[in-house]
Amino acid sequence: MTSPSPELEHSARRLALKILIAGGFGAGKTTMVGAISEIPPLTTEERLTAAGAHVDSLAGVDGKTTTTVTLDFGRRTLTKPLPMTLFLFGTPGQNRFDFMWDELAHNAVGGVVLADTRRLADAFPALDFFEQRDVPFVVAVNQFDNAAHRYPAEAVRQALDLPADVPVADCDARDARSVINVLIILVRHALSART
Amino acid sequence: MSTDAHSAAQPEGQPSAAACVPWVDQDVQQVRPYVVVPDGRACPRYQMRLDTVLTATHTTAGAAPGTTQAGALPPEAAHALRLCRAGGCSVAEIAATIGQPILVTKTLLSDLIDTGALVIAQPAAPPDPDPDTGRPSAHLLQALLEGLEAHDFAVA
Repeated sequence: MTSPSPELEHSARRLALKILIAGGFGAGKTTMVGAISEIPPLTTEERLTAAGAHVDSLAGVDGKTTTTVTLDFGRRTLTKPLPMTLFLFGTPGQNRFDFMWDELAHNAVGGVVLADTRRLADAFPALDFFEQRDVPFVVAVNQFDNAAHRYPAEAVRQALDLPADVPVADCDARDARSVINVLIILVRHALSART
Repeated sequence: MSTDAHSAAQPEGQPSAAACVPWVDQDVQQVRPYVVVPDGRACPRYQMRLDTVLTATHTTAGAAPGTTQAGALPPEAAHALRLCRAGGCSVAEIAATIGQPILVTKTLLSDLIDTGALVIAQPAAPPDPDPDTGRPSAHLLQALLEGLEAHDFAVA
């Protein structure tokens, strides 16, 4: 087997890190991935069928012969202080897709739970997932234009019954600076969990 | 199927307006996964995750797409190979771009690794992970933090 050419090797050997963005349907995951991705956000649709049950675990979806899980994907290259590629995965965060989550969570920096205050309960499966696997996470409250549903971060913390050390941040999933701010909070949180 | 039966019932030479409407069905247009993967296999032989990066090797770097196997590559595999020539590509990105499920994509990529056209880039995962959790080291997290803070996302 031959090795890649030096220039290819260089870019392929960039450090790869990943952050997961989870939340209920319509919470703004695709928007958030797209806000900071240098490529247009890609979506893969996995169709899980009964025929594939031996490979695609369908535990917990008894009686369902086919289901679709979508996965958003984006990436961002950082050059300083080290050349690295940040992979962003947007996932629906439903328990029944645990097998895919486990693969995603492997070696992940951490997770962002994107909460929509109109449907806050949709965030619970993602919270459970990160808590169970001890993945550091922050809750980002996506501020939609609808002012009637704006709640302060503390109210969201109470409603979700979050531990005191989990950061809660307001964000605008469309705005790159706002999203990057959330990621910075996440990385700081992941770092503080180490010490 | 009803459209099929309907058109079959039409006398030859007298197509009705309804019979001229092309039978468009999402499921039928899509090439079935067992056709995409030669021999209908659905089991990737190499350990790959969604963020595993693959690169094309010297053997094919200068050749036209799909020429290693003399045109024997399925179009999806040739597409995947082209993506990996441009400095490496992750499994998730390849799957989304060639429009195939992850498992089918991984199987196609396994074939390409077998032919020597692709290699799994090392390290695809961060080095020196935390020994307890397997997650990125504090050193690497610090670098990421600095990278995020320094990056000008206004140009994004």
